[in-house]
Amino acid sequence: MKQIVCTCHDVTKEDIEAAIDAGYDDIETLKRITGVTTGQCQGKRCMVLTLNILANKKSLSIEETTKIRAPIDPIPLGALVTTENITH
Amino acid sequence: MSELDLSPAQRGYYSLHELDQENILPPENKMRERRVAVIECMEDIPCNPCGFVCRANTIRKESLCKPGVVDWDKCTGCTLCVSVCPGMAIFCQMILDGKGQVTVPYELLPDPKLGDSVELLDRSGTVVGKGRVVRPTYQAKGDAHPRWVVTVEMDNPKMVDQVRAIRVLGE
Amino acid sequence: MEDWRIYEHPILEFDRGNEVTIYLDGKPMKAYSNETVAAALYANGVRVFSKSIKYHRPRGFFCGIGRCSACMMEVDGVPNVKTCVARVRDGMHVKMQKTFADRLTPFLNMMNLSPMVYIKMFTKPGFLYEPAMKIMRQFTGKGSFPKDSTGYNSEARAKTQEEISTELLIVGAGPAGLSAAIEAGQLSKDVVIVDDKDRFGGQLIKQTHMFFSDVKYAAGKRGYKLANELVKKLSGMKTVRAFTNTTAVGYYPSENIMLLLRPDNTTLRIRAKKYIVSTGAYEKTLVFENNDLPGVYGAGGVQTLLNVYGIKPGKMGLMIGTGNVSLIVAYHLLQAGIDVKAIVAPSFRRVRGYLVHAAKVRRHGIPIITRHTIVKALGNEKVNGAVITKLDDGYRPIPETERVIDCDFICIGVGLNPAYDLIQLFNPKMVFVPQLGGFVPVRDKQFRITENAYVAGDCSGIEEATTAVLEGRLSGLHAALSLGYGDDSVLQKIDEYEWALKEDRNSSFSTAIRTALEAIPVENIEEVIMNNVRTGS
Repeated sequence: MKQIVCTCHDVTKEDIEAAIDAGYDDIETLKRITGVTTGQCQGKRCMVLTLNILANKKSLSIEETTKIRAPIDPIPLGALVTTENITH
Repeated sequence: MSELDLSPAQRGYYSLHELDQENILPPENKMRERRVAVIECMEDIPCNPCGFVCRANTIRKESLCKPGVVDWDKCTGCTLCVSVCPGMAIFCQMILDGKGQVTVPYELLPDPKLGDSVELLDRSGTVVGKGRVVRPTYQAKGDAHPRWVVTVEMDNPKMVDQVRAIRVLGE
Repeated sequence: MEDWRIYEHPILEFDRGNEVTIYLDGKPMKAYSNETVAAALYANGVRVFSKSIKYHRPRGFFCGIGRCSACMMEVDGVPNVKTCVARVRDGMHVKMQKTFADRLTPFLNMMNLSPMVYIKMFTKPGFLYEPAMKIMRQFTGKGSFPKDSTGYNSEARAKTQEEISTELLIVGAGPAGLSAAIEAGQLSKDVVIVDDKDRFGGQLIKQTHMFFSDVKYAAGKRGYKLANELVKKLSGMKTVRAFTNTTAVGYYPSENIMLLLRPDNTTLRIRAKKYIVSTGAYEKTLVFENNDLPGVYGAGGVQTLLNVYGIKPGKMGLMIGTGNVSLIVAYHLLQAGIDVKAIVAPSFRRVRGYLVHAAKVRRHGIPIITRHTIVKALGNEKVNGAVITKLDDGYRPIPETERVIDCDFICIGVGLNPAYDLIQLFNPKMVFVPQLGGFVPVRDKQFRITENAYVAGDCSGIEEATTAVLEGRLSGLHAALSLGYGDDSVLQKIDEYEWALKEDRNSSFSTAIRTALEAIPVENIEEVIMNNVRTGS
């Protein structure tokens, strides 16, 4: 039975804790090794949960999220391709 | 551990004893004179419709966050406060011709009709008896007020302090 | 044929639109033109919308407002469409994004595909990597390109990118954004307000309970009525341009461009002199066994299904959390004729919300079980029960106290997270403040977070709709002032609204918020930003 933290990438609580134990103990490396917060929702559902697990494991307080970059919501690649610009 | 060992904030409602201690419940002689309002709100929620709507100027609100206090000598039992309270925490009580009457705000189905039989529920959701709808006042649908303000009658006048919800059974 | 729609409601009348037919994997389903695809499927009894990427676990409706991506399906040939946002169309073809690996779900669930393991698999010897990846991709089931191009509108191929300039851009048309637009629109010449949904109002549109606060502002009003009033006021204003179905996807400070996505898959770029971010909040959720099962919903998702689309989430629910949202949604469920087995929360000192809300549900027989929390959701493809356990004084589960609650949906109401993502793209200084719900930007007394951006509403700190309205008004006025508009009457209004906010926050319920809000605002936001840039945080 699984406790899912990141639903977009199926990352469980055990996965995150194992990664932290293996030394990936800050959000930047943790997200790169597990994929947490990098899915379609871009951490809307799992960011604070993940930071909580990290904070509890390392007995530290929550300080910051990972670096947020655009796009913060899924955007079709086709939408970024332009042939015409209309400026108002 | 029974429910009464909990505090109201753990239980989710006030017990009769706790309400009595705060002078929330009206004395019997006042209820025999006319219908009076009972404000069962003891928290400092920023809110003032009850004081604002009271026509007899009997509900006193010291400030936005202090609960309203009713003066039972001046209350006319118009039930406007019952209809405006956003927390649905105001009721009216009366003893008329030896029978008890309680007015509650009502926003459920089925719609109450005059003469309908109802189950009477107390603050913990326990059925304490049966009653009849004597005055179903309709407000507009989806309006700011609860859809209905319903007065029910019960044979035992001592139950007016307990009855706080109804389940409409129909004819 | 199942129909979970509500046809009689004590408060609401549902304008569903005309009856239409949509097809799920070829099977016809009754839908109505004002429903979203997810709502229509749900009303027909569909509970599993997708399978997850790794373990192929069934997933369904969760947030209902386009935030969590659990409801993505293929719609008319286009993959990965958020069905909780897309509206139905007569004859629409919806397909679940399946893959052969879905049949391996029970087997996959027994495995522990830890990223620590497979991320290094097939990297040595190197020549195995490419073919291995090709095979792995067959397993994902996250949508495929259509075989022919009939799924795409070939006219849309000639994509256009529209660019607009304005004085003030407001992102998010909930109570805060709408109020800001109304105030700023009365003073300035050109305001643009956008929202990702197809109607304005934010969370107000699903709130049927009456608000508290002062009669001068919103007391006694039902949320959705307040939304209608605000939208009506706004629609009469010629200085305000409104865009629905427009999602803010990025902000680029160096070019000062906000990039937004429109529903026809074109983009909109807006360049504004000032911005107000009023994007609200995301629902918090809990981690417990099987917390991703269809049937586990956020309280907001349940409210959306119930009050916006008039659809029952189930027959018997279990509510987790005793804050105002949980107590109110339990009451909404009662009004819709749905049984609520219990309201469960770990707190033991007190019910977290107002006692009047708790009393409303207790008097109708819904028990409140404190000192307990949920440890497991039961069910294969959907919830059919929950396991709760008692907690000791240290919030640890007490052994041997587990019990099963019979229910077909679990509603999680454990608070909200301020929406930090768009805000962070402006590079303000962010702080983590638990009393305000999570990450919020440092701001000055004028609600500024950077030289050109303001915040208002839940995204600046979780509070109420009434405080959101007041904060929106204030930030709208300050933004207009900074653009050179307004006179002394504006300063008077600012004083009035600030006083109202103070009154609203005078109760014991707002103590934590007051303390937090006293600590955050700074005198000089420019200095804070300079330090931010210097330290590279």
